[in-house]
Amino acid sequence: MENIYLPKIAVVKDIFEETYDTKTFRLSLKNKEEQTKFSFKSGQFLEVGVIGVGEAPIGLSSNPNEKEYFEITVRRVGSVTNALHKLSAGDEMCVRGPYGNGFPLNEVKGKNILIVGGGIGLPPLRSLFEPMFDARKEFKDILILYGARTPADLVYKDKLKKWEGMKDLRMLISVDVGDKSWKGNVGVVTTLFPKTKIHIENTVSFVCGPPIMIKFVILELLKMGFSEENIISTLERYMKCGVGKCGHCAIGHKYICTDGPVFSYKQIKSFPEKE
Amino acid sequence: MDTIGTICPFCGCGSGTYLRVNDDEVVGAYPILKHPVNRGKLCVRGWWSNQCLKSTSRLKSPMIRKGESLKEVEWDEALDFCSSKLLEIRKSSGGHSLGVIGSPALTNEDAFVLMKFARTILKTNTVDGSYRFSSSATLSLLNQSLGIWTNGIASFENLEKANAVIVIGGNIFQEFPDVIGARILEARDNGAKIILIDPLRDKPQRFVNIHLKPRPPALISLINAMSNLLIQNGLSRFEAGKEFIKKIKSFAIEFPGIPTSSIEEATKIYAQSNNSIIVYCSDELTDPNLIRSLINLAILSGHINGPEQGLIPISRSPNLQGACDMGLVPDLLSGYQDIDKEETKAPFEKHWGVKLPLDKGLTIHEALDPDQKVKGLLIAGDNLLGKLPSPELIKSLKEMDFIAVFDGFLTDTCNLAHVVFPISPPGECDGTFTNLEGRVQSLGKIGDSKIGKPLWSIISKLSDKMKHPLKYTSDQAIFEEIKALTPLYSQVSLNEKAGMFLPRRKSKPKMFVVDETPINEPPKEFPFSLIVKNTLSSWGRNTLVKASPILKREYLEERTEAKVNPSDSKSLGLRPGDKIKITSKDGEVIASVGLDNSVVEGTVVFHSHFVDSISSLLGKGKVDPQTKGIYYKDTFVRVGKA
Amino acid sequence: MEIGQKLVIKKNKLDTWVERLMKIGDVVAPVKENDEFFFKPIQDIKNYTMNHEIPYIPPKDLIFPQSENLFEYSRDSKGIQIKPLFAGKKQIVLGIRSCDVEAAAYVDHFFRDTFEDPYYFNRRKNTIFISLGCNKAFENCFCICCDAGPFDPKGYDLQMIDLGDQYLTEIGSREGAEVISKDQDLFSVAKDEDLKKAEEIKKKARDTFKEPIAYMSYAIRKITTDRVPKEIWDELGERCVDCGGCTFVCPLCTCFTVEDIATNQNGGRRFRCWDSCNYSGFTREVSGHNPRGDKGERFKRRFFHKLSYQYIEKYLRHQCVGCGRCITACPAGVDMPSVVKRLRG
Repeated sequence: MENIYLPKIAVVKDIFEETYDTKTFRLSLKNKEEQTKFSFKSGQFLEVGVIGVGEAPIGLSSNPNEKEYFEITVRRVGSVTNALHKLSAGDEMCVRGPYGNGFPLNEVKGKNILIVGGGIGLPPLRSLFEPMFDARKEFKDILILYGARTPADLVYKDKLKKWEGMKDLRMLISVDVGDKSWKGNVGVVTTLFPKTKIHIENTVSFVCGPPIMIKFVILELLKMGFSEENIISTLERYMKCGVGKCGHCAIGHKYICTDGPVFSYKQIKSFPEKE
Repeated sequence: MDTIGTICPFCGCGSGTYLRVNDDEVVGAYPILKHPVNRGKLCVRGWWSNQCLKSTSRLKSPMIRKGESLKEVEWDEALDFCSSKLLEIRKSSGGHSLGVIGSPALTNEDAFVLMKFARTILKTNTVDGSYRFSSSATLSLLNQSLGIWTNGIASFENLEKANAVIVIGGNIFQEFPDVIGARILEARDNGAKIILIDPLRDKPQRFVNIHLKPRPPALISLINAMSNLLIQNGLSRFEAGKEFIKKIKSFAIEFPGIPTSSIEEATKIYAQSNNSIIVYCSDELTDPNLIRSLINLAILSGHINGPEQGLIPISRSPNLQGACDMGLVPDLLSGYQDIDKEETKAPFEKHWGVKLPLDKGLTIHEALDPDQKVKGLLIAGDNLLGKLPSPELIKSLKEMDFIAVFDGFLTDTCNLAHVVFPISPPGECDGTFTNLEGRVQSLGKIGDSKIGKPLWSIISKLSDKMKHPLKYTSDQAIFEEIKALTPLYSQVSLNEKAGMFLPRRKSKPKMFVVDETPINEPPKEFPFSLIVKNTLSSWGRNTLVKASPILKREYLEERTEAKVNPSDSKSLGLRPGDKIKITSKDGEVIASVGLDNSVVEGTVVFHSHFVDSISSLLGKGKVDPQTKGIYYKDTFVRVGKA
Repeated sequence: MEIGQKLVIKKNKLDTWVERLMKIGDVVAPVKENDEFFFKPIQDIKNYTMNHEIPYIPPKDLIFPQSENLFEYSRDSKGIQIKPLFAGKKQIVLGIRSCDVEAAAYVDHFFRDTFEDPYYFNRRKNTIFISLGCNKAFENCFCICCDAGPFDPKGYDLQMIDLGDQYLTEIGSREGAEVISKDQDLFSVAKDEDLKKAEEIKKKARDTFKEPIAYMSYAIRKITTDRVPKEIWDELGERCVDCGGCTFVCPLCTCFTVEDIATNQNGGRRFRCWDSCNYSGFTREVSGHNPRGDKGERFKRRFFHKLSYQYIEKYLRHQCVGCGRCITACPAGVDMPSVVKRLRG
């Protein structure tokens, strides 16, 4: 049987500095055969480890259709992520996975898609909408709303311009606090809602970001008439094994690492513990 | 998997645990089912402090300071260097310029050999332990009032049968749950009344019957007021002297915030129950006058006449009692025998073949006084730097000419040392601990340390190099010598399964006249009480906590310096992230502050490891001539936005 | 030899059989040391006993040890090297009680769910359980309240019942049949009177339990429908001292944590050790936020895992077998029977 606790070695191909505390690592498994067999679904995560320090669950943020490499976007918070930030191109790190249930990409074909991301919540959403662009005809209207605290906190700055300019995609960006050069919307991401047409019929919404932002966005969506099954979000907990055994990420009778981290709002409501 | 029976090395309860070993690696710990002390239970530290044995912070080799940093060297080089330095200082400045500081975490054998080395080879009586700043008040005062190992110290078995328990000082239910807390809860379930005197808790636990929360400087007055009540209401069962009664009358019973009826009820319950016990943490109550007041209360109530009643002073260190029993104090030999008296000194001089030094021994804070011109210190078994309560003492330690450190782990004190020796931590050494019931228990070991050696064996090697060999080969041989010279331990047999009690004598208690001004409420200009709190991550065995992954996760270091109650912060106009200014009559400090619902209104809790700030507020420590300890009186402060 | 077959072995032949078993692998049997019983591999036929009380260390420790190494790592010029560490030899556990066997069946199910745990099954596939039914209850037992004993637990390879001068031996699995197949000379087919005696013993055993200690179904209903007042969880959580003892002595608790230890600059190992959901650090996130910081919440969560229908549905039984170890281990009197009693009001 496969040893679920044994990590694979991944080599850092490239590093992109997103903000002062966030970096995107482009990785590829050291063993070429493993890399060709490696595949993941949107919204899944890896247990990324620095040997000798520990592991942290980090969402995959690149397009699953890309076979040469995969990317993770890491914010520096604790000992593991700080150790990751000290790596350079060519260094090695350990990965286990992919784990988690992932976004229901196939189930939402033929529907309108509303994606609302906040701050560091955009990376896992990117693994959702980039494959949608590859199969654009299978989805109807796609609207992406992205908010961050300040212009410096926006991630994927180089890609945002490209996405804003795409023909069959609507994308609006907002920051809580602007700066001298910021010409766009100022306000929390919910202030973008009245500024554009949001489909409600036959629409599924995906929300990712800091817990407090998710809470307010979902309240707005419910007010607008979205049903609870059509609001999809992610839950976060402290994780250790990532395979539903150690018990740390359990909420109610579900494990966030195997039954989640993606849940519909209807499921989230049914859990006995609210954050 | 092998199971090795031993004693938990974390606190002074002395719980029996099995160390579980697989292929030379320690795998975990498990409670001994039928051990009379813990009866099959352990607290989280008991379950996981064994993880320290595989920690990377263990010292890997002897080290000598070369330039700015410590370099790993062979044993011989370190021993040669240390012995030659000690001989040089002894020759040029005399033995009294050397000092030896042990710790309450050393085994009895280690403590005894350390004490002997100091007095016979270093020729100094400056022998002390790192408990000087906390628990020395308890030991010294109990000894002087009740005599040591007398009926005044309750046994755990008696605690189970108590009818009334006063719990004071420290968070007993959280810090000693498996031995003390469990028994108090059992007594409670059988109808006993629990009286909690805790200024840190806003709301008592549901199983507490009466909760009194005096502001800390008023705590001593409260205890004395209770004694006053006992005498006034004729509940006292002991004849108190006239001078005592005159003084006690000055303690009034009105305290704002505490209903007088609660104090009366608590006093009545304590006095009239058949079996009443006072439980307190000796590391937490450091003010000698508070201990004096508690002892007086116990004596007055008469609850020290029956067998094993009275007081339970709990320690956060595994061998506080034993280290003092072995003479790690400046003026006493092992068994509390006076070093100044001929009749007690003679057997030691005869057995050891040397004359004992005549110079007066110094305590730690005296040794760190630059005027005393102490040039060299041996520090064994503890992170002394973490225990020093004032910046002056810390500066003094850093400027010491020669420091030799003996420890199992790399601590901050090691970084000040000129030579460092790795010793075997409990789990890899034999020896005995004496718990706070007076039970002498043998440790078990999973095997000899790969790097470290038992402390007594390193001291023996040093003594060889100093041409005065002590010639010890085993813990048993040392214990035989302890038995021969210490009447207190002469009847102890180590073949008993769960250790053996030191013999108890009936006591003729002496009461103290407490020289204290009654304080019932804060003065107008300083309306807040300052409480210095030993956070769970910094108390006692901090080294072990940091070295065990699970304990490190459970006991996080406090990063904010102070905490206040949210309603106080609102009335002060504070917001999260603001800094507060705390002013006492001795000084002023600006500190980072956090909000905590469990902090009592009108108090500000300051975390103990921020030594600089605390000593600015508390001023110079006072030295108590009877206990020879240095302590800091609680004080009232003014709090405002910075 | 088939599953379901019932045989008998005379007590005076037991030692001979055990000696033969010692040639196949480690025989882990009850050994008395220091006035209590442990399951240890025996070296000498004289060391073990079949008159034992339930051992304080649960047999889950033989397959899921308190601490075990997962792999060794090292870093050299070629990069990171990882070497998994598997351990475990064939072990025959003799004399394990019904409650512990029932617990082992649950733990097997748990470690197989979604992903199979290789370290657990490496040991499990080499382990055989020969259980001994309990003719009388011990001090703290309440397995009859938990549908876990005193006889016929799920998942035994062989079950032995003490009939007086011989043991009735029932084959429960293929591995059990295999173990016994070479020793047919020591066993004989059980006669009708033997089976009748066994039934009598089973009935009498139920009478040796004290008054029902725990009304589990009431507690299960209340917890499943979340109808226990918060006040009660707060009261119980206040008494709880977060020692983790109940988790470690429980034969069904399986939570663990994983840590890395560096043994030198370029190498070290990763190990896992038991953990308890009672600890405040169990769910604390790196940012400092703790979704279960309140002790009452943690206490409620643990009992939700133990007794709720949501979990029963997943694992086909509730997570208590009535072994009574938590009663000894708890310093605060909030063990399973006490809590169930408190929930009744």
